[in-house]
Amino acid sequence: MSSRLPHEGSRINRKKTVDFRFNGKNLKGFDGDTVASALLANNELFVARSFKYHRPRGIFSAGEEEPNALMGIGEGSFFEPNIRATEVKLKQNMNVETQNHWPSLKFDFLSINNLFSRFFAAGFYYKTFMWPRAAWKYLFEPMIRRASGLGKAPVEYDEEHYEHIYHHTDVLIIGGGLAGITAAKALRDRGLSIMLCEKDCVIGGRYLEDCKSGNQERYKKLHKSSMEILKKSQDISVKLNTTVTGIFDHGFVLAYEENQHGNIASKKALWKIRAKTIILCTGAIERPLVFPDNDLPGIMLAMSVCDYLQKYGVLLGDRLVLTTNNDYSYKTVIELKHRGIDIPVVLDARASSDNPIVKEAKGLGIRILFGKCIGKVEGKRKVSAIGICSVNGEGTIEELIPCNAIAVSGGWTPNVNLWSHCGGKLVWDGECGFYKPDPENTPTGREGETNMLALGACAGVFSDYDIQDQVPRKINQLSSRLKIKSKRYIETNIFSKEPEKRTIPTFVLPHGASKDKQNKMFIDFQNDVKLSDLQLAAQEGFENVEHAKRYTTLGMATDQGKTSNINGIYVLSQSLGKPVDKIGHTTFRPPYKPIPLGLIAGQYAKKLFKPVRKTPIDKWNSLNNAIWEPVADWRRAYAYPKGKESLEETLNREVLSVRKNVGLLDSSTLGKILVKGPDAGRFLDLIYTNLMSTLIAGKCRYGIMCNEAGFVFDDGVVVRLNDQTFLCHTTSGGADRVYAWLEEWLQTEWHHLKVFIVNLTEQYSQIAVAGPKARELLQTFRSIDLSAEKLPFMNFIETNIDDIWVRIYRVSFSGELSYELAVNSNQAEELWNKLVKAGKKYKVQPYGTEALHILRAEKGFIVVGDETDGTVTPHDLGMEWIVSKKKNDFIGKKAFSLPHLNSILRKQLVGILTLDKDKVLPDGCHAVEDGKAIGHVTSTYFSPTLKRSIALGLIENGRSRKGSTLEFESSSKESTFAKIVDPNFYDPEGTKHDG
Amino acid sequence: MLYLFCPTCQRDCDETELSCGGQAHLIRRDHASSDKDFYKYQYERKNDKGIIFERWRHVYGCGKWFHTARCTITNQVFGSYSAKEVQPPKSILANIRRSRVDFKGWVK
Amino acid sequence: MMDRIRGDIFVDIYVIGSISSLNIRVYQEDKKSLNVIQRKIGIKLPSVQKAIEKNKLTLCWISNDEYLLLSEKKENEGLLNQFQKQMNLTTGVAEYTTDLRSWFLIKGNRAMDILRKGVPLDLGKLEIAERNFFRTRLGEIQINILIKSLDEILVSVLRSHKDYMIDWFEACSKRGTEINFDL
Repeated sequence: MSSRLPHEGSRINRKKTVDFRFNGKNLKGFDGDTVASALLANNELFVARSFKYHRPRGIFSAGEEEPNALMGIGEGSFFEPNIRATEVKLKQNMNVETQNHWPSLKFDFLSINNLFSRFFAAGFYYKTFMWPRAAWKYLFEPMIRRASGLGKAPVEYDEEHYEHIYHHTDVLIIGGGLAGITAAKALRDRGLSIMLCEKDCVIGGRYLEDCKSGNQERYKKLHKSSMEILKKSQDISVKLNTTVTGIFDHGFVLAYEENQHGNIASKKALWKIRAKTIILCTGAIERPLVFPDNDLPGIMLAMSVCDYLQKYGVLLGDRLVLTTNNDYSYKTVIELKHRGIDIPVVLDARASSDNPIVKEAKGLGIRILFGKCIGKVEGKRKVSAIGICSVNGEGTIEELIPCNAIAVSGGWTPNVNLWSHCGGKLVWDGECGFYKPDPENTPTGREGETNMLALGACAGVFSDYDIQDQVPRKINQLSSRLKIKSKRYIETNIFSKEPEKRTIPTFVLPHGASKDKQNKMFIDFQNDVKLSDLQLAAQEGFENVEHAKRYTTLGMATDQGKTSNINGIYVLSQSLGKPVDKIGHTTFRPPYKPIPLGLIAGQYAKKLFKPVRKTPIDKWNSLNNAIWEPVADWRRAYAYPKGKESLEETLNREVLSVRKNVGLLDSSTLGKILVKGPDAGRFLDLIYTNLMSTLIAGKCRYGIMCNEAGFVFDDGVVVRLNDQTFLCHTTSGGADRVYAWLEEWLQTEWHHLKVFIVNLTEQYSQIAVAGPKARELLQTFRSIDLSAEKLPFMNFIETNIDDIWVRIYRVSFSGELSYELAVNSNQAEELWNKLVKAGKKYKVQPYGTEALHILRAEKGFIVVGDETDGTVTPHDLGMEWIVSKKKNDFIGKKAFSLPHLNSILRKQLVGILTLDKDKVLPDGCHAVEDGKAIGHVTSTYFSPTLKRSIALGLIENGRSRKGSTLEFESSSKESTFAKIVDPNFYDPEGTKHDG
Repeated sequence: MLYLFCPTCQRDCDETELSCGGQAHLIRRDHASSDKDFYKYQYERKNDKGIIFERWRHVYGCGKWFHTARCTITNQVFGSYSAKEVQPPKSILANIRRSRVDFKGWVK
Repeated sequence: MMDRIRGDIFVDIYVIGSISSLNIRVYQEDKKSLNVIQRKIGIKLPSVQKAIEKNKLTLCWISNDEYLLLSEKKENEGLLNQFQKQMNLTTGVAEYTTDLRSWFLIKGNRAMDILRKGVPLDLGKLEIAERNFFRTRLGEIQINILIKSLDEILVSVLRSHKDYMIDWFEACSKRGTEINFDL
């Protein structure tokens, strides 16, 4: 029975009660509690069902290494699954739910798996669900999917406040324990910026609790002076509640801050830190011993038992047994004994120990049995008794001792994950039984320099004396290596050197455990990996540790094997008869601990998910019922439905207004790139397939750009503003790409050319005025003469409309008389409104991008990205005329001479008319001949002008098929027949563009 | 996440400010070249494990291209230089040799 | 009249809209063009990532052949016009880009904090004091940053990104989300 003591608890404020709900039950805790400590205080020991066998599990630790107590925390849009109860601070009215059981934690249907556990051994899925094949898809997979997984995914939108923060620092210290604090003190006043991240809500680490026992005064004094130094040092920035989760190239570090200051109750930030040097002071994690029935609720890591006692005043049980292989864990039983708790026995796997702390325990009257361990644990949902056995043997029970809690300690594992994230290697320390950072193979930074230093327990240095002795020395060495202001830092060691006595590490007890017992010895609690599973993997040939890991799933759960890795590697080495250092270890990868997906998104969710670019006429569009179409990052008006119009009716109206009267199009998104300089013409001749240098000032010319492979890349109208200056129009989606393309050629290939380019896409807006009445409309503004003589097709003029400067291009993308008006963007909305107003008389209709596409398809004009897909040449499009034969060189010229680009089997652009004129072919559908796809539809519409279906497509040898009928597979069941024609359905003579 | 020095802005740039342009020092082959040379220029790229020379553009900043020498195993960077250089400058090669004794030099 | 971004926020952010500006491109060795700049603008070319201000005209460094000229005074318009015309007679370029960008003014002692939520640059104080015009990214978009002082920063984005930028400022400037350190 776990309970709360009447006094004590350094982290809790007993004056402030916190109410919370656990599986629907109303419970109370104190301010400062974690969910785990509050649950223990309420005697909730059994808090989880295991992943595979659905075995009862209890809280096993007091930190981020927790494998069992994963919970769903919060409600609705603040619900988060799979959270470690040991890490979450209790909040008023918090909702806490257990997971992985049905219908309830106590009566879980799938705990039946436990009875069949011997069938669920390693590789069970691979071996069992092999046949019949169909059963996998319809029976096994759905069944397994339902049974597997831990927490439930939230169903509501995550309303938590997440954000990203960039930070740059000379030195990042990770961990604020004795080593981290000493390192910070040693580094200060050297002109460096220092950041210290501590995952806990206080600085101090382990020694904070040691302050309360043992050498109290020394610790207290040290802590007080250290805190003063940290507070007043301007060069040290401390972040609490901040866990470093990943280290990447060139000193890039991600840290997860769970609670920031401020009045936003819960706020999570992802710190993106660039650190020149990283000092790792991440300490160590206690690891369990592996013994039979070692996963029952009531069993906990020894130091965690002590933490709950000292930090939260919570007692795991009032009759506690310690099973251990080291001296440090005696602290737990001594602390308990001081509070009058019954310690029936300590089982020490070692042959003996004369460490003062062991003597102290003995002095308190604690019964210590050396060479003994636990042979079995009794109890169904929690510990009720242990059976003692000898460490050397198969586990014959010598004595049964009733108890309700077990503290377990198998020693400490340096927390080396972060060292490994970015290339640091580890070495096996056989004497201590753990992997530790290899000082010869460190992570390196941008210049190839060592950019990480491990200090303290994470480097395998555990005693306070050694830490205080080594850290200043190593920092001084580091400073001289970094050539920074080298002021030797000296700190008087307040600790006394402890006798160093190393013992041969033990992992699995008893050594000769019988098969029956091995089957109940859990290594990885979170993924339910047992000793027997690893042995089986070894037997079946999964000798490489990475293979064994994947076969058994050891260390693959969300805790990444923080408590199980070393034990697992040891078992594997025993099974294979190889030394541990020959087994190696699996790769540690970021994140060090799980982070919410919302944190990765940061502020870039909802409205900020992706930038939406808006045109200067966007407001008008939006007020006039525009339906939006995304074009690259832009949102463009797709159509402007009126009243109860169907979309078809809208498109019909918009298209016909251009054909019969006049329409207005917001084409502001069109790319506009200024090319200026004495070599501008020469440069454009290299970029476009056709000649641009011969263009006369005042005129426009359509051009196509290809890449070196000869494929069409962008198109648009080029205008020559004056002798030295061209303005190149690009597609809406291609503006940035083309701008980058031009810069690239200028900077990296043709830097001898005297040419500058400026991307003016957003300086000018563009409005198309198209239709037979376009000229009349524009001439209502008396100032301008737009007669065909004054402004012929493919020419432009600069003038004013009222007092607005405009450049008017006479170009046409619809086949009708058409003007495109370039205007400074700040005046675009005003001009648009003037045109709408003046156009009333002519029944002017704004039209959207879909009508634009229909209009151009009726004329057979291509759209880059529809008719081209990066594998289409101008020749394929029937545009040989645009590829200059005169020019010496241009991008793509070589490719056009290659045989495969001249093959008659290439797909060529054709027009497609369905035999059934009401049948519109699906976009992209295939033309089929003799069961073979010979091409596809690239654009397909119902043409309001022709009152029939029209399409463009790329068909093998298409031009020679004109007049023939082809079969198009419009769905898997249906075929449509269509005639291949010239890709120009409307006004093929081109008589309309003069109006 | 790389952190590269832009020689134009004279400052370090987060990788997110840059766009990578692949292998540096390609020689453009125009229409007068042989099919084989053109094929090499268009499609053949080195994929070395070790030292590579690559192109970057400071697309969110000055917009200028530059080259770097980088080790693909450790991501050690041996310096940035102008995109106008037709081969790696001596100082960069010397820098590489200092930490890679077996470096055989730049191969076209 | 400037619109202020509303809400309970920890800095003052004003939506300025347009500032008269010209993008200038010039070769460092092009004496003729440099002469036009010197004569008309009267500001020598700023060094890397610097901006130089004189008579409400600010010349900002974008690249070694590109500069941004800002004019915060109506009376300068005629001068800009003349400058543009003369410059374009040389091999250099001066193009109006007034309509191309949308400007914002961030004021307050936490002005830099808000940028630290989206800009990957080291905005540490030392570097800021030396150089003061930066072109970089903020989240997903390109941004120009003109640091007038530590509590007065002008930023601009493409005009099409104006609404996105306002949304970003609103999301990142909520009171209670200041960037703080502990102890």
